Amino acid sequence: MKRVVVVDDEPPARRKLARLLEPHGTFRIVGEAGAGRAAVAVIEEFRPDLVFLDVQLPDISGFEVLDQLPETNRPLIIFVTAYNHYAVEAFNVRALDYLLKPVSQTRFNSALERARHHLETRTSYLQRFLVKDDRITYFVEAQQVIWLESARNYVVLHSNGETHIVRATLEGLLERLDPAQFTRISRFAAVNLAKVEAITAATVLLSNGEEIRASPRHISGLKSAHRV
Amino acid sequence: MAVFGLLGLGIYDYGILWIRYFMELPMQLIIYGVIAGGTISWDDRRRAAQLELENLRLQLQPHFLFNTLNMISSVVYESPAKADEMLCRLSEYLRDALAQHPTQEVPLNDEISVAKAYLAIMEARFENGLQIDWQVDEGIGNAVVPYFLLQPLAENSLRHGLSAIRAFREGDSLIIALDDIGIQTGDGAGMGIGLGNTRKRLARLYGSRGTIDLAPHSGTGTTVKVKLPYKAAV
Repeated sequence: MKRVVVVDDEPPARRKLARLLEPHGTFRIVGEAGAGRAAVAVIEEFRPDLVFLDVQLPDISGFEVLDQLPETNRPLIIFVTAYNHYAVEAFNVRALDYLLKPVSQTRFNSALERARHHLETRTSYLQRFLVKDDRITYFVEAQQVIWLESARNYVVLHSNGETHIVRATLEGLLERLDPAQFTRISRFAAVNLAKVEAITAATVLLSNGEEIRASPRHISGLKSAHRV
Repeated sequence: MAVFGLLGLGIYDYGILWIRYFMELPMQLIIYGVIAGGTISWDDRRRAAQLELENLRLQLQPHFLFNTLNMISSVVYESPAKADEMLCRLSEYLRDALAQHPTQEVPLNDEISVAKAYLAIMEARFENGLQIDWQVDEGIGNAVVPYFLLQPLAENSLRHGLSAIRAFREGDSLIIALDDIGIQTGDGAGMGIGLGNTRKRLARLYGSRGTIDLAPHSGTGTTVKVKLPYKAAV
C-alpha cells in the first residue's frame, strides 16, 4: 500500500483528487491538509510516500512546505495548481510532476504511473536489524519485531518473549523502516502494524499480549490509517 | 554640374540661402508635425489598447477561472444541480468581464449581481458557509459606478472575513461600504489586485470626489468605504 497525503485549501479540490485516486487501489489517502503549516504536521505524522501539493495556500506556500521538511526521506511531490508559472520552480525543487487544474483522469494517471515507477525503484526499507551483543553480532527480522521502545540513545526491539538492544534513536530507525510496517504511537514507542490486535482510547494491544500506552494524536492517526 | 549640363538639365539655382531658409521652414514644420502627430496618436491608441487588455486580464484572473472550473469538475459528481448552478454563476461573471464598457460606468445593480455571482463561487470553493448581509438602499440601483468596482473590493474584504456590503446615498455622493470582522481567512490568499488599483482608478475618473477610506469597525473589523459622485444612469 502506498500512502498519500492531499494538500489543498479548497475542499472540493481535495475530494476531486480522492476521486481521481479511486481507480488506483494500491494508493491510499492517509491524511489531508487545508493549509501549509497543517500540511507540514500531517506529512511528518503520516510519513506518506506521495504528496499532492497545492502551491497557493492561505498561510505558507507549497514551496515553503517543502522547505520545512527534512532533506532525507522526503515523500514524492506532485504539485497541483491553477497557475502555470510555477512549473520551473517546481522542477527546481525536484517535484515529480506538475498538474494543472482542472486535472483530467488521463493526465492524473500518467503522473501516478511515474510515482509508482519511482516508488518501486526506490532503495528498499530496512528488512532486518543488526544487533551487537557482548559476544556475537546477529540479525533480527523486522517482521518478527512486535514493537520498538525508545531508551535515550538506544532502541529496545521487542519480539516474541525476547528483547534486543540496538544503538540508534527511534527517530533514526523509523526513517529507515517502511512507514506501512512500523508506526509511532507515542514519543517512546512505535509498533509493527501487523502485530496490532486492538486499539483502545489510550493504548494499543499487541499480539504478544502487551498493552502499550499511546498518545491521543497517534491513536487517531492509527485509526484513520486503518479506515477502509 | 558638368553632368547636369551634359544631360541638358541646366544649372540648379540655389538662390539666396538665408531667404530660402524662411521660405522652406513652414513646409518642414508641417511635415514634422504630421509625422510626430501620427506617431503620438498611434502610441496613444496602443497604450489605450494595452490598458484595456490589462483590465481584461485583471477581471478574468486566470487562477480564479481555473480554480472555479476545478471546483465544478469536482462538484459535478456530487451534485449535478449545484455544478449547473455554478456554471451559470461563472457565466454571469465571465459575461461581465468580457463585456465592452465604452463609458467606464455601469448601473450599481449590474455590479451587485456580478459580485453576488463571485461570492457564490467563492463560497462553493472554500465551503466556509459565507453569509453576507446586503444592505442596498432602495432606488439607488440605478446609480452608476465604474465597471468591475465591487469584485476586487469584495475579494479584498473576503480575506479578512467579509460580513456586510452596504450601499447608500449621502448628499450628492454614493457610498459603498464593505465590513469585515478582521480575521485572516487566507481564502484566495494574496492574489487580488488590491485597493491601490481601485483607488487610482477612482481618482482618474472622479478626481478628489472618488475616494477609498478605511475605518475600524466593531472592534477588530475594518470598513472599506468607497465614495464617488452620485449620478443616475440615463
